Amino acid sequence: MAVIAVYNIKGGVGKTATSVNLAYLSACSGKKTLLCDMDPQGSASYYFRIKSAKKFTADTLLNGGKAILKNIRGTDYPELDLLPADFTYRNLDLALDDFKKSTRRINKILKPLTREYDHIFLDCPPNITLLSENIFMAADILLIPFIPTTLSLLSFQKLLDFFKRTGIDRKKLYVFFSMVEKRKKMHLDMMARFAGRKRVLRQSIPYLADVEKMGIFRKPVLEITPNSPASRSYRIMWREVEDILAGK
Amino acid sequence: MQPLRQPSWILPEHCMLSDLHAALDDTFNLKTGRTKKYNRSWYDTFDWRLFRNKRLLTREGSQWFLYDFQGNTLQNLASRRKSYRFSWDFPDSPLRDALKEFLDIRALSELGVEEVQSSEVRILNRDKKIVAFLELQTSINRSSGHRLQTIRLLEVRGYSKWFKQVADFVQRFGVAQQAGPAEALRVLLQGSGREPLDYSSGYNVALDPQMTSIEAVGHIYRSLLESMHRNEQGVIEDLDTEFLHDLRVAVRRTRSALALIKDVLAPELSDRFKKEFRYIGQITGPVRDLDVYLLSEDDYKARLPERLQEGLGYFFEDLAARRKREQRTLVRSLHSQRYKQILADWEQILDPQGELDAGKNGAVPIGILAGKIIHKRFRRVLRDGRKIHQGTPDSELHRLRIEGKKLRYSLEFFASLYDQEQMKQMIRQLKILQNNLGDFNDLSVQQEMLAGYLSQIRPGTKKSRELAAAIGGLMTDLADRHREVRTHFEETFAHFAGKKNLALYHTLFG
Repeated sequence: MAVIAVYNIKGGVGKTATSVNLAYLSACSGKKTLLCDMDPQGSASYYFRIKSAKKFTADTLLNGGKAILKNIRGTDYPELDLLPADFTYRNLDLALDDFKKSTRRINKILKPLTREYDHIFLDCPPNITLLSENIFMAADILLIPFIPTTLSLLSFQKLLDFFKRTGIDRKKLYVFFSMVEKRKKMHLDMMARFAGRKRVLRQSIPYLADVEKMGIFRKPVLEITPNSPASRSYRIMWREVEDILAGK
Repeated sequence: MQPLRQPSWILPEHCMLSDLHAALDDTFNLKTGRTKKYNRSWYDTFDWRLFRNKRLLTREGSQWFLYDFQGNTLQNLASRRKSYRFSWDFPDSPLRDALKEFLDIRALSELGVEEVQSSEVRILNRDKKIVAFLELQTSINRSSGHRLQTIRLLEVRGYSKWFKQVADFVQRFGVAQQAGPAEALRVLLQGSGREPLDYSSGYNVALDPQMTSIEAVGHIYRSLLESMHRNEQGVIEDLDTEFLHDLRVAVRRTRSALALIKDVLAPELSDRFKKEFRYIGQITGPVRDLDVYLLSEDDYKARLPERLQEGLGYFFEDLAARRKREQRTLVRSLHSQRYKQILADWEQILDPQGELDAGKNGAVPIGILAGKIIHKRFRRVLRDGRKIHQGTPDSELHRLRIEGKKLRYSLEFFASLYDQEQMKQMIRQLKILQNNLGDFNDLSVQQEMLAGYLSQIRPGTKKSRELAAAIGGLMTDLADRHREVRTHFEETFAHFAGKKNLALYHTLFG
C-alpha cells in the first residue's frame, strides 16, 4: 500500500492532470486504486463526471470512518475509485484546526482505506496550509509538478524550507517538470540545471493540447488519445514512480 | 467495504436479448460497447473438486478464469495454451496456487465448449457517467446446439440506487430466474450425460432397515458396479491415478461385501464372484502399486540428503518406465474378453428387473443382519488387538489390519441404518487405528520392495552405485519410521478399545 500525493504551492501546474492520469495507469496495472480529490474546485471529480453526495462535506471527511467509504464512487474504469471533493473543502483548514494532533488527522482518516486499496492518490489544493502539512505527513511520496521557470524554482525553495522547519522527511519529495514547452529557451535552461539530480524524475510532461482536451472529453488523456506524446509521457513517468515505490 | 453486487439472470427461452436491449434503451440512457465473440470451455475434475468447493474454471479465448458461484473472478491467467491436465502444469501464478489446493492429484478435463457472443451495455446518468454495466450474453453449446441467454448486472460503487433501478427493470421485463455461472454450467451439461456432483469417490448407499438383506445387497453391488464402470474410461485413458484407485476400491468393497454379508447371495454366486473380482484386483494391482511410489516421490526425496538425490532420481525414472509397461498390460486386460465377461455377467445378475438368487439369510431384514455382522467384526478386532504386546510378531499386526478393514467396510455398508453423527464418530475412531496399522504395513511392504529392488541392481557402473546408495538410504529411513509407528500402536489401540468408544459402540449396536 502506498499513498501518493501530487502537490504544488502554485496552482495551474498540471497537478490534477497528473493525479488523474497516474491513478488511471495504476488501476490499469491491476492495482486497486483510489483517487482522493482534496481540492475544493473538484477538477479531478469533474474529469470523472462524479459529483459528491449532498450530505458529504468537509466534516464528513474529517470525522472519518464508514461515512467516507459510503462516499467513494466507482469511475468508468476498472479498479479505479474516486472520493469526490466537495465545495465545503474550502474550509478544511479551519475545521482541521479543531482536532487534536491536527497535523495527523488525514493520516488517521486514510487508515481504513489502506486496507482496501493498493494505491491512494491525493490530488491536493495549492498553498501551504494545515491541510497540506497533513498531506505531507500522510504521503509515502510527494510528486511535485514544476513548470521550469524562475518563479517555480522560488516556490520549490519555499517548500524545501517548510519541510526543513517542520521536520518532515524530505526524501518523500520527487519533482518533475510539467507543461514543458520545448521552444522556450528558459524552460530548456531550467531543466538542464536540474537534470540528473536526485529526486528529479527523468520523465517530464510536455505542454500539449491533448492534456487540455481532458476538460472537453472529461476522461483521462490516456483514454482520449492513448498514443499521443502526452499519454506516452505519463506511461513512462508511471513506470518511474512504480520503481520508486518498489524501492520504498 | 461492501463487495460490489453482480447478479446474473437466465433469460427465458421465448424472450430475446434484443427485445430487452430495446426496452432498456427506451428507459435509460445507454451506450452499447463492442460485441465480443469467443469460445468458452469449462473444466473440472471427474469428482467435481472445483464445483464441490463452489469454484468454476473456464478458458475464454486466451484467458483462464477461476470464478466463485456469484461470478466473481477470483483468479485470472493469460495463456494461449488450450489445456492443462494437472494444477502443476499451469505456469507459476496465483491461479496455479489456488487450483493446487482444490485439485490435489486429480486431473482436469473439459466439460464442454460454448460459443459466446457477449456485449457490454453501459447505463449513463445525466452527466454521461457510467452508473451500471450490463453484460448480455448468448452462448451456444457446441455439441448440443442448445442456446442460453444470460444477463449480468455489475454494480458501480456509490451508485446503488441505479443498480436497484436496473435490477428491478430486468425483473419486470420477465426475467425471473436469477442464476450464477453454476447454473449456466448445469444448462451447458444438459444432454451431455453428466451433471454437477454426479460422481464422488465416497461410498453412499442408503438402506432401509426393513429391506430384506437380498434387496439391500442388490443396492450395494449395483452402486459399486456403477463406480467400476464410471472409472473404466479414465483408467484406459490414464487421465490421473485416481480413476484406477477408485475402480480398485469398488472392486475391493464388492469382494468384502461378498465375504462379510454371508449367505445372503446364493453361495455359488458369491463363491464365483469372489474369485472373479479377485482376478480384477490382481490385474489392476501392479499399476496401483507403482502409482503409490510415484506419488510419494517428493516425500521420499525430502527424506534423503542432497548427495543421494541423483540416485533416487534413477530409481523413480525406472519406476516410471515400469509403470508405462504395466499400464499397457492393464489396458489390454481391461479390453480382454474375460474382464468384459465378468462385468457383463455380474451386471446381468444384478439386473434390477430380475430377482437375485438368495442364500439362507436373504429374507432377513437388513437392519437385523447388519447389527450381527458389525458385532462380529468389532469383537474380532477387540479380541485380536488385545492379544498384541511389545513382543508380538509383525504378522499379527498385519492380521489385525485386515480385521480392521473388514470392520470399516461393514460400518460403511450399513452406516445409513444408524445415527449419522454417532456413526461418523465411530468410523473416525476406527480410522485412527487403521492409519497406524496401515502405515506400519506400508512401511514393511516398501522395505521388502526396496530390498528386492536392491538385489536386482547390477553392480559395476557409477549409476548403479548411486542407485544402491539411495535405496540404502531410503531403507534406513523406512526402518526407522517402521519402528516409530510400531511404538505408537499400543497407545492407539488402547484409545480405540477405551471406555468412551465402547460406550459409543453399545449405544449404536446394543
